[in-house]
Amino acid sequence: MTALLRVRRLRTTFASDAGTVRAVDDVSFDLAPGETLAIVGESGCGKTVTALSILRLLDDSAHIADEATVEYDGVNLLALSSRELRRIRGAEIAMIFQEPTTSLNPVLSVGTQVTETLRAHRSIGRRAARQRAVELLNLVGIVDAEHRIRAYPHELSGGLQQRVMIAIALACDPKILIADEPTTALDVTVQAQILELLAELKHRLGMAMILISHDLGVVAGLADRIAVMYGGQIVEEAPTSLLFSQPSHPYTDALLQAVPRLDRPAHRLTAIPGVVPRASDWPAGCRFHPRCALAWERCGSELPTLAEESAARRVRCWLLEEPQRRSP
Amino acid sequence: MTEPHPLVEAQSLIKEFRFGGFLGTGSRVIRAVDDVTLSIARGEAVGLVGESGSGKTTLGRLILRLLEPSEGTVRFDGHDLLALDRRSLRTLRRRMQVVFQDSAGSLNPRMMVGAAVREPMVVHRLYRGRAADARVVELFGEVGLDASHVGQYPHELSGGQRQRVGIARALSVEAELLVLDEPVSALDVSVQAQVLNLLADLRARRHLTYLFIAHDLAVVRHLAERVAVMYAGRLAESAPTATLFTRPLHPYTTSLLSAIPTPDPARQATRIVLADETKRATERPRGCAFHERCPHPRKDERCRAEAPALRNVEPERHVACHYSDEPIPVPSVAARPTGHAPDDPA
Repeated sequence: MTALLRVRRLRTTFASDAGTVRAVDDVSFDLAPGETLAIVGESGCGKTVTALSILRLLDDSAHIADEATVEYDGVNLLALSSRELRRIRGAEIAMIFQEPTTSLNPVLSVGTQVTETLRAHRSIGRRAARQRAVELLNLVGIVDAEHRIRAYPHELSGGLQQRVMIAIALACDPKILIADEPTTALDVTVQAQILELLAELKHRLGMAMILISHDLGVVAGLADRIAVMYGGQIVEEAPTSLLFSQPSHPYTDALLQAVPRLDRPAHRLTAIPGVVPRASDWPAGCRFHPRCALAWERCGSELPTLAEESAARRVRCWLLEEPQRRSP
Repeated sequence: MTEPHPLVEAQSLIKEFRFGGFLGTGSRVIRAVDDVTLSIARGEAVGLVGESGSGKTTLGRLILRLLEPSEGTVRFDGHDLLALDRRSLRTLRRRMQVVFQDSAGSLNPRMMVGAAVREPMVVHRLYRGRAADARVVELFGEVGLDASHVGQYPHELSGGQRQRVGIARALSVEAELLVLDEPVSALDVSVQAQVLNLLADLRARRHLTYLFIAHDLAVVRHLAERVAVMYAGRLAESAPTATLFTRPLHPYTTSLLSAIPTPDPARQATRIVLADETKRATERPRGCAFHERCPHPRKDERCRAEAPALRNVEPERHVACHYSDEPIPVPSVAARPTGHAPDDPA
């Protein structure tokens, strides 16, 4: 498999009053052309910072470690000048965010915002850009696009705003779409519309996608492969069906048990004890060990590496070396 | 229930908000809650679900009389809340408490969390001095917080811990009714399960009555015995939890259930994808508020012209749909077809 995107040893830290915050700590993964990779985890696990680091969308308080590389099409994005990076960002790799309301410019019409991206990256005339904008709005399922193109963001519902965001992201036929919690701010019936749309676009356009979400239900229907993050690190990475049917890392397993779901009897939920750790204060050893039911001494002192359990799966857990501890 | 009367009886509640305009001209009216009747038996846990803007939070506030209804009545334990003078209302308020979604916003950032739990019991003259201090520690234990947290400030606690403080505060005055407004929506999955289990335990132990307001049906299913579904300010359907989830009668309930993503790639239900909401709350359509988005094949002129009344169709079951006798089937949970047909979702 030739990777379209190859992330290696990504470490992103922030300087803060509480000391250095290690938000992303040694993250490596590949993304194949046309593939959808989901990055899943709870708040503070580093999933959003991972995405923002790829496109270098972080502010000055962030520092990406020198040994980190993000190779796209053979080029290390982290080594590019801002000018060179701008040619890729928005054109080759596009991103959509959780809150369409805050991502769209309130004083520009929808049409202006879609054509703006086109005109920034392509030498295209005003009229042709407008024509393409209408096509894009149609593509994302906005009916009456000729009319809607003149609308301002506040005149649109949250679902329509997110469709516009997707249209802007798709304007230059990106090879990769990074979607950061694209449906979290939406109502569940609207979320269903957007998920259908993303599934359809992925199929029709064949683009690769990095889907960032806290919701295992959302990723189950869309992702080919899932990376589960905890404490700034990937703790398990596997094809979607394998991850859901046979989770290997105790955190993945516990997370699946903790989700209230409709397809099973309403039994008492299996909660994960303790609290989600803060990025300024990761526990020593395995970062999940204080909350892990299977942890032993080694887990509290040594950080496991992300090791290949099989050709399909990587897991960061000492159980890989001592599997007999799994059955009490 | 052999209770002489329900603990909460909301009768024909209407709440209108007026906004915009100038000196009474050109203003618009939103009917956030539109003729809702709901009763909650003592010890019952009722889930109130709906999407944003459906009026569920407003209804919760009307029941607590944190908002004055435009029309209708609310009775708590037989007392008409709207007829009470301030003093009697205050005495009654002790018995009904609210827990909000945003625990950071509902706790005073400059007050230690122990003091936040202590304050209501002193105000209501239940405990004072050392007895109050001891009671705070007891309550912390009851909600699963360590006594060492008493002297901490809200920002020093995690979201889950703060939500436990909010619950302890509601319990400190021996409340009988808790209105839980999205109490776990802001929490991470691993912590959400802890708080849901805590709420279930507390209810069993203290025989509490819950009105559990949430947008997440899967969460509600774990706590509520009965669920009421709101759409555009009205009740669309109410039924015992198990019945509602297995045999919904209102097409909106069915759509809502089908829209919830299943965390299992092998069991992806075919979603009913609704058309987008195009109307604002000020310009709700005539007739059934849901008719423009309704996927029911029998939808017709009647739905466009006449708003369906909430009818008692079976014991403990109410539904507001003209065609509830032919409910649309819940989509079967089946493997998602790989060749997805790119038809126009709108």
